[in-house]
Amino acid sequence: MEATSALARSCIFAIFSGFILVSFPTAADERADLVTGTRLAELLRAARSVLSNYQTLINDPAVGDKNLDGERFTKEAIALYAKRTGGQSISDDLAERDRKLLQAQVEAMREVVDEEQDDINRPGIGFKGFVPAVFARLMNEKFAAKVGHEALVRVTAPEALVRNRKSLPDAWETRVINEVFSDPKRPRGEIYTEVTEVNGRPAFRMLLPEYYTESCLTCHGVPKGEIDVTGYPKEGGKAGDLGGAISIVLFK
Amino acid sequence: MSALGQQLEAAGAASAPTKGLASRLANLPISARVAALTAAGLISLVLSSVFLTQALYRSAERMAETRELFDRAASAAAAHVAFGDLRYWLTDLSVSLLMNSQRNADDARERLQVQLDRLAQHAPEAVEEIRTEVDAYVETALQATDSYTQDNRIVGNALLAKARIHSGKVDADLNKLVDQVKAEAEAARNEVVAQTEKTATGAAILVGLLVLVGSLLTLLVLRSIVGPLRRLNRVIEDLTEGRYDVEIPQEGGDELGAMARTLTLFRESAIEKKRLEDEAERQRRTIAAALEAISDGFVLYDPDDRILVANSKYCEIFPSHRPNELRGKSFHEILEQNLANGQIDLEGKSPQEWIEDRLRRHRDPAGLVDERRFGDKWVRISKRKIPDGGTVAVYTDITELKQRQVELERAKSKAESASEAKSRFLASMSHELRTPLNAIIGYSEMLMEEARDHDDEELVPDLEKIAAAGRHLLSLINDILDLSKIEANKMELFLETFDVAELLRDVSATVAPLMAKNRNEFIKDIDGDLGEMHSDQTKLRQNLFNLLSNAAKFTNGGKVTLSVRRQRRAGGDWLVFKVSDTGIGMTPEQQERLFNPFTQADASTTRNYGGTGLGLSITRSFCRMIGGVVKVESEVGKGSTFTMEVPAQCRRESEEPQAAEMPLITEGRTALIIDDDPAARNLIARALAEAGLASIEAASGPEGIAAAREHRPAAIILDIIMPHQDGWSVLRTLKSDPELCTIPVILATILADRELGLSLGAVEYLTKPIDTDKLIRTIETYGGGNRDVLVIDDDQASREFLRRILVKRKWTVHEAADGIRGLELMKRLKPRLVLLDLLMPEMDGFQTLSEMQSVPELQNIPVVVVTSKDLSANELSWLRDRAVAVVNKGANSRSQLVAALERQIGSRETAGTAVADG
Repeated sequence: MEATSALARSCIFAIFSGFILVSFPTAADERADLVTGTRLAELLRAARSVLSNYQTLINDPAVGDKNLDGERFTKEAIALYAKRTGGQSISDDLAERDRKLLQAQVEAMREVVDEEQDDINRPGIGFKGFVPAVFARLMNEKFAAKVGHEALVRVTAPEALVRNRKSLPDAWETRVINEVFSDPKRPRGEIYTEVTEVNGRPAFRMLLPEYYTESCLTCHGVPKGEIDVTGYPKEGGKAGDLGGAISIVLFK
Repeated sequence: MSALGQQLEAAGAASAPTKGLASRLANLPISARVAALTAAGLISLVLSSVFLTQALYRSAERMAETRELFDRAASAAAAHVAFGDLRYWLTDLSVSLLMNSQRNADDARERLQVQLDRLAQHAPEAVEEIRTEVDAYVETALQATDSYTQDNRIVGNALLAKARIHSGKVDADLNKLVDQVKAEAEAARNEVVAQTEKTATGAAILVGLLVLVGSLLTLLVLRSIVGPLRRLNRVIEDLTEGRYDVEIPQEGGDELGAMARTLTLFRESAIEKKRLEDEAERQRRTIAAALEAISDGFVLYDPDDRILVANSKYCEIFPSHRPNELRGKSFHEILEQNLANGQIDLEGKSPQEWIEDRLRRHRDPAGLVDERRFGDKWVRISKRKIPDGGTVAVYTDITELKQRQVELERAKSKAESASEAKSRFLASMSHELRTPLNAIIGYSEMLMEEARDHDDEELVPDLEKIAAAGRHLLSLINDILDLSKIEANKMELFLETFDVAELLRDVSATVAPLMAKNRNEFIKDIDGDLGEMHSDQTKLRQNLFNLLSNAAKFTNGGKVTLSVRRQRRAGGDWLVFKVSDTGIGMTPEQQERLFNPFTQADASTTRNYGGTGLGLSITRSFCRMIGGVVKVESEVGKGSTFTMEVPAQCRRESEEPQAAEMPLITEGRTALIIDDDPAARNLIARALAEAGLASIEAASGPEGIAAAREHRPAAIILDIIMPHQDGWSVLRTLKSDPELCTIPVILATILADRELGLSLGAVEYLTKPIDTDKLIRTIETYGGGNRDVLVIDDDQASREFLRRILVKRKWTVHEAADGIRGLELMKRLKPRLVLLDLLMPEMDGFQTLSEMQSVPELQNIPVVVVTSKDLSANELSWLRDRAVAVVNKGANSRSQLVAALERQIGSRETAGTAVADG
């Protein structure tokens, strides 16, 4: 499953990359922005997947030192990113902006994991609340702190599904989710892009829809209202439902 | 409440002047009293209902108010709780930043809003204040949360502290509101409880008062009804038990007063009724005593055939019935009881049939008189319906009567058998006495003839003496036999029509020798036109002969006159024969004894004149038989005159009643005979036919009635005892039919006069002195041919005598000693004539004649019966159909016989009938 979806992503990535390179040179900036945003989203996803895979370990109260520091985590996330993007590197052959932004992402994840070491390694506590969503938010906050004047990465969701006020969609995101993603004719997974303004600056914005997978439904599935492991009532979602969106802003 | 006051007043008024009110009440009709009571009850019901309804309405209103207050208190409490929730979630949100907390806070705020809206209606100012504070609090708290979301903790804390001031204010305001509202609700509730208790007390008092007043009124009204009613009831009880002297209380002007007056009337009528009942009881006792005094059993059945009255004599006759058990018993039960006692003669029927038969007869007795045997008793039962449908039955114990009847019947049958024996004896005597006399007379006559023929005259006087003695003896015997028959009522009449002049000629010829003997002159003074008579010729002739021979005997050298006249009288012609003589005459004493048997005028007469002394007695008897009288006038020494008056048309005694009936029925019309017995119908029909009436026959009542309607007969002859519908009921039906009631009905219980069915027809008489020469001449002129005569007689002397007479006349005579031999000879010889004796051994004359009738070749042979037997009317009739002549043996037999032969030959094939009489 994971391999298949990774392959699918690689293909999409390849098509977009090819598309950007060979077609309309007049929209070259936008095409570059789309590729950049896509890479940022993929790296975020890779890091999130790695954390997701380590949940059992992290929540094991019997193990003290989990030996999961920022260095190890980062390596595994970059490896997974490469694997998913068909062997792309985060440093080689990249434009300056892309390399910088991806590097900032890597640093952000490393810092978050390192900062959380005490909690991760604290023995005697089972569930530690260091779930992929929290991790992603913390990582994105770090990212914003580093390169916030150039790019922003957020994970948001339809308002009804948002759990933390910090993840509430802004007006543009709300509009795209309610008006564009709700169109049943629109192909699943299609990215929405728009050149607009953010905080008074022109910016390229893109929104990538994310759908619930089986692993998501442990907390977001049925029965609706049942309290999940984090102490929050479940949303009653089903596999394949729109569960959230990765929102990327690339300032001009 | 004002109505209640009135009630109380009324109750008060009722208790004080009860007496006056009670008397006023007594004049009110009961219905008015009850209506007033009911009206009072209804009014109090309405009043109390109105009161309670009003109280309930008030209570309900207060309850609604109270509930509203409690609702308000509840709203205030709920608002307080909602605000608590709101405060909690907003605080939680500022810490967790979770959207869930924000949503819960929104929800709590909404709830709070709802409660505040409700409270706003009653405390708008306080609520408005609270709302302003809540809004301020929420706004400040959300600002704090936003600050926290943006990780601005310092500002967040400050804002949150500011929000806490607002929330504290709201909390205090809400607490105040809750307390206030709760206090209001409590106060309202307390008021409701107090009010309800008050209402309940009021209602209890009201109900109690109403019950009290109602009870008082009810008691008053009941007393005004029940008191008099009890008194009247006691009076009615007394009256019912027959105490009519009880005093009837005077009640008021109401229904009870009317009832008391009615009771007074009732008592009067009851006293009158009792008087009438006593009267009726006295009468009943009188009738019962009378019934008991009847020597017969008496039972009265009601229309359902149950016994109403039965006297004790009935129980004496039927000892199995107890007098006290009889009343009410049905006739059917009585029958079954009788049957169970086994004292019933079932007359060959099954018990069931017997009961049905008796029930049928009981239901329609029609004056039924029935004689029945019950055990050793004979009871005559006579039943009649009475107009009300009941039945009166009288039971007479006729056991003694029955026994006497049986004895009588036995005596009668003994007498009858004795009489029968006497008759048989007479019949055989006449035969036995005449047979030898036949020989004596016959042979002496024959010898006289032969003596004369041979000129041997000296023997003739002797032979004449023998013949005279024989004749005298024969006449004696005949007289005695005649007398015996008369005495035994065996003498029969043979009516026929004959010429009177001819009869007189015969008689004159017969007595002429007697007249000559005493040298008497016989003068005949006879009317020229005497005509014919219908009477018994033989008896009339014998009477005339007797009178004339007596006159001749007692007159010597005088005159004997016979004068005959025909007189017309009412009811028919009469012939008056007068025989006068100039002889010795009689004294009145002698005349009195004259007609007694065995008596002559004088004892010496017999010695002087001979004779049996029977002649006049027989004459008188014969004369009576043919409806006439014989009288005598005489003077000693001057002679006597006997006058015999005889009706020209003799009627049998038995014909007379029928003749009396005749006028009822118009000649040539039809009579209807209703009788179940075919033999009886036949008998009557024949009798009617002889009277010239046609008849219709009906075998039952219904058939008869139908025939009567169809044919309208001139008369109806009705049998009484018939099955199904008896004569009485037929008679009733006939008489109740307007079209049939005029037809005369002759009831015929036992109409068995068999004489009606028998008729001898015309009989030819032969006169005694036969002109022998003429007779012989006639025979001889008849000529040759078969001159065979067969004589059938068991008496050798008789055969010999006949043979000699006939041989002398050139007849060939064949003899047979009995019928069997006679028939054989007849078949072989086919004789010209048969002379037949009747009394013979082996096969007698009657049988022989029957046999001859059954053989075709012998049927036409003429038979002359020669007998010395006295023949009855039946026998004569029978013989008349089969023989050509009947000749008595004995006196004049020879000449009679010859005459018969002559007549036979003279009217050969016409089969004329002749009866010869001695």
